[in-house]
Amino acid sequence: MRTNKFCCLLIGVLFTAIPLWSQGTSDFVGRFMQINKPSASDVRCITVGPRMVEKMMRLPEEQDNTASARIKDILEGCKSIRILKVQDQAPQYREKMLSLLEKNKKRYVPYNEPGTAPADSESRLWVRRRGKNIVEVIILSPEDENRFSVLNLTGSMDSDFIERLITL
Amino acid sequence: MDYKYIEQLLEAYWQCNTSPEEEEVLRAFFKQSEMPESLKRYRSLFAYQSVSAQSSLGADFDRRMEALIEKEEAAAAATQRTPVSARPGRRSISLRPLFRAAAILAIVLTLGNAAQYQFGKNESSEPDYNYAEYKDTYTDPQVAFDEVSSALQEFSSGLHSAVKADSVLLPKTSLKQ
Repeated sequence: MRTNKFCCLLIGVLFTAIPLWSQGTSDFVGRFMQINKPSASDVRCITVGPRMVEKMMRLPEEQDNTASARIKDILEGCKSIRILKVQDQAPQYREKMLSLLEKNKKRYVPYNEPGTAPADSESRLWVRRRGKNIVEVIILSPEDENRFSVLNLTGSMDSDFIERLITL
Repeated sequence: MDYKYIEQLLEAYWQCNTSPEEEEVLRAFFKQSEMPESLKRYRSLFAYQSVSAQSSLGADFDRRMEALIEKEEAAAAATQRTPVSARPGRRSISLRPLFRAAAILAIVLTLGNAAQYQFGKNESSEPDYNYAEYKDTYTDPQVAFDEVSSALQEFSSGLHSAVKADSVLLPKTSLKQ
């Protein structure tokens, strides 16, 4: 009888845990929005999910538009894009972002190439690595009193991708 | 007719001073149909006493009760016999291997998952994001593309100028260009 109760308890734990395992995680901006719940008047969040990225990739190519081709080249490695634009209280939101990055410093690390000097505290490019891949890129806009924005990309990326992004 | 005697008997009856014989006189009186209005209201009381005195248990009461008791006992014995059969034991035996298998599976999955998180040996390099929660801001891919390309160019130029000033972020190959 006692064994049966123990077994039932274990099965219960298993069925509770399975949905949690299969849930997946949020990207950085998604996490920020969940935690801070900023008002729509302060913050504008633009989300482009994987399906929309695919649709964008299928857009007809404009002739002699190298910029468009380079953007598509960048989007090749992306699965989702989030752009967060802060219209009011830019310094406060920047502080909150940096604080969240600091709290998740095991997950997000300042990007620097092997062999170069480590990125300092002013780093504006952060990445999340999974295995050999970079699966998330976070770019903060320069410090400004009036405006602040964040670009958050997810997908299967690498150092070449970052290089292409910087030299776009 | 003089009803004074009856009224005296009634008076004594209310004060509980009547003998059984006197009460029998009263019952006999109230059986008759002719009586003054003032006494008619007591008729139902003495008529009920007469009827209830007549009612008694039937001759077959004991036999019927014994039959009922025997029937109840037989039913109780039948219900007690049913659970005594091997049914609960059989169910327990048939489900036990299933419980064991599920418990082992639960333990293995829980420990595996815990180990994966604890030691960071997740070799998968694919994104693990829940893309189902993404709700596109734009429905037109062209509008989305224009917004994304302008943002990418803005961030790229910001990073590029920072890299030129700092030369920390950009790989050496790019700096040579």
